[in-house]
Amino acid sequence: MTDAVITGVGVVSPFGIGFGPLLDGLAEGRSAVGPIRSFDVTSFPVKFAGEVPVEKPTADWLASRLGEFDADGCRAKGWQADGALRDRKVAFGLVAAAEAWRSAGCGTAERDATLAISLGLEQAFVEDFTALFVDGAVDWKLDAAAPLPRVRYRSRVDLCSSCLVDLLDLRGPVVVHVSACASGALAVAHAAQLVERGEADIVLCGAADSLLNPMGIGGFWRLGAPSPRHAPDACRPFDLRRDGLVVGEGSAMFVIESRERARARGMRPLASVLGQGSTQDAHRTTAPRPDGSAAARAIARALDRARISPGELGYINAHGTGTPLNDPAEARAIRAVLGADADRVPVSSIKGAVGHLMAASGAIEIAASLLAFERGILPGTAHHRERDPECDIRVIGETPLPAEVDVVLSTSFGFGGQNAAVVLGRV
Amino acid sequence: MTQGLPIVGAAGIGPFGLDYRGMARRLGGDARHSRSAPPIPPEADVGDRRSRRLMSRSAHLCAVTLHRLLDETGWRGGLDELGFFLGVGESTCGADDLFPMFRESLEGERFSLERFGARGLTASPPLVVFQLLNNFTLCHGAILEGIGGPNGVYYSSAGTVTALAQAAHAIAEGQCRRAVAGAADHGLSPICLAELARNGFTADGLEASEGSGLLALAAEAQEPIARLERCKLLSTRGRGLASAAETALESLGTVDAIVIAPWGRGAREGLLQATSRRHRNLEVVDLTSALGDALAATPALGWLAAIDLLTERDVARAVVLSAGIDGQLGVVALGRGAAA
Repeated sequence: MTDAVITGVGVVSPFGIGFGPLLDGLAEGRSAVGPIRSFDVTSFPVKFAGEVPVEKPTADWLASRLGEFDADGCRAKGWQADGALRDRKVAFGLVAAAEAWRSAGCGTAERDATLAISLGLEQAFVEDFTALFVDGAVDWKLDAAAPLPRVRYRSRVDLCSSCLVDLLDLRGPVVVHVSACASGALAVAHAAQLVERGEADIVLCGAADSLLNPMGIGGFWRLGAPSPRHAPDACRPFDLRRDGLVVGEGSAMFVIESRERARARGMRPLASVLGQGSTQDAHRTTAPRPDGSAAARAIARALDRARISPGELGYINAHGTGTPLNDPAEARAIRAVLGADADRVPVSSIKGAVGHLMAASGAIEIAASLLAFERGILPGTAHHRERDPECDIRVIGETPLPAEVDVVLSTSFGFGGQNAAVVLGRV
Repeated sequence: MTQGLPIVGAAGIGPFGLDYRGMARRLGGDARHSRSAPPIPPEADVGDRRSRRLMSRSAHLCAVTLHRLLDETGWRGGLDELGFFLGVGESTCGADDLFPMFRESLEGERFSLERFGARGLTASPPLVVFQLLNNFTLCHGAILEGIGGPNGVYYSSAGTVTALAQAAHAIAEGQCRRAVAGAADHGLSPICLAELARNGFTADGLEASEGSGLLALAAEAQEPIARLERCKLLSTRGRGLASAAETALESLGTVDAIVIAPWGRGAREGLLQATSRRHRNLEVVDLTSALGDALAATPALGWLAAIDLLTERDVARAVVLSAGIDGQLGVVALGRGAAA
């Protein structure tokens, strides 16, 4: 079976635009969570988030970031006119993909690449629905005459991927993963599988998501998932005082190809994708399985596929949402698979620093895991000060940990019970 | 791609009814069916009132279909390791649940963000969020039945073909011994119909419908109802649908029946052009012409029609060609099983 390696990375995160700012922020132990600025949240019950520092992605902003891929800015202007840029994740996915494609040295020779991308839900444009109301009732016949852009009421789930195909003139198949918070990891895992099986020479993969809009923030609040506190340290993974998650947004994209192909192109691989596993909790719609047994099976399956024993693991980048229910279940899953090695293997979650990127969380956490290989540093767990005894694992605190490790594991657990684990190796 | 993977069961709900058997016969000629699936009778329904309240229409169709499939296969043990891979569509939820949120946000005739945050958010039931999350189309069924194996949810008709391919690979690579693959989608929500009309698809001949179709795949079986011989997703960008479909048919060799599941008039013409060039004398079953387009579920309903052809007629090999809005071509070849 062919080795699948990562040769390009692109990131848009609350730390800024680019893979470098993400690694810098994590290596310095900073947090990018702050007050929401992209829309007025005065009357909203959620006021803090891991927000990409761009108030509104405009055509000019996007064109400047896409560079040679949209030299005259025509595509960006067209997307803005259509209304596609109203959905923040569209611009984030395009910018991250352009960086990944560029950093992997890809060009027209790679345009047959497959695209495996994870995208969150459609963004609902709540203000658009006003045009449909007459005397308090909805009349869909008014839609035809509504003075709104073509993309209205909601964006299409695959809007970002269709823009991306146009931008890079990709000629390969496109797969859009929609497995909630597990889907970013599953998209990367899928990309590696396609290369390993010989079904694709090269795959552009990753994820983009943003819930930083009225319906997104509001809907998640209705689920009771966000921390009720309006503070930069609202998300405290594995901490005794944790009380919920912080919503984040952004994108992480990767180029994955065979080791032989990368070598032939003279590309330096950043990591190899060694294995992956997925399971379903099959428990409840509203809560993870408390004993973590299904999550443990996903981890065990990924390690088994990677032919890695728990003793060889050097670091775990955990899902670590900072919610009361997730963190102890995840700690039990890790303990169940690692046994005594759980006392040794360092674990951290970056969600305190960047928030929960939802469909993109698995992808950005794989990017964050590369800090171990690129700089010999394991990310810290922002705002983690006192470990909950229910989370009986070795949690890295707020300060990043210098370490030389060869194998890392990234876990992602989706709302609804979908679990994913990906094992990465130093090349 | 796995060659000849046994298919040991199939189930579907759609405009054709609650049972796919006999479907191909009913689709022949100029047959046109209602665009809605029939009501689910209480004895066939799943979950309790609360769990159904959390489901979107797509999730409900999927959960009922899944239950029937597990009954048919007798798969009631070891579901912890059963794979489940599904194609799904856009989020849907009942307008009665969603619109109070917007109505409460109006200040006169204008939308007020301040009112949305202060009053709109609490005007709709929190349960609406569970309907909106499209991965729950899989999760509700998995939770009700206790399915815990490898899984994935993929978007749109291309995602449905991917789901089948991933299920086959999961078995071939030893991630699981058995898997369920298919799709469920509901294209009849007001917002979906408005979007299809606005983007010109309705004028291009597309009639939305709804449905759910699932296959049960196993590493080994004594008497499979069919065999999955090939499953491939192809981009048609840069070469056109007709050319891509023709090349795909050429690579398949002998074919006895073809089911096409095109999205709109242009895709129909492309697929018919390819089939007439490669297999001039074969009968072509046009699924979406008869049943409407069940969006993500359409390819899966096509597989059911093909299995029906394999089991009820003198057909040894059937091919399903699906073409979605995103310009991707799904090619699924099914062979006769021992039970046929």
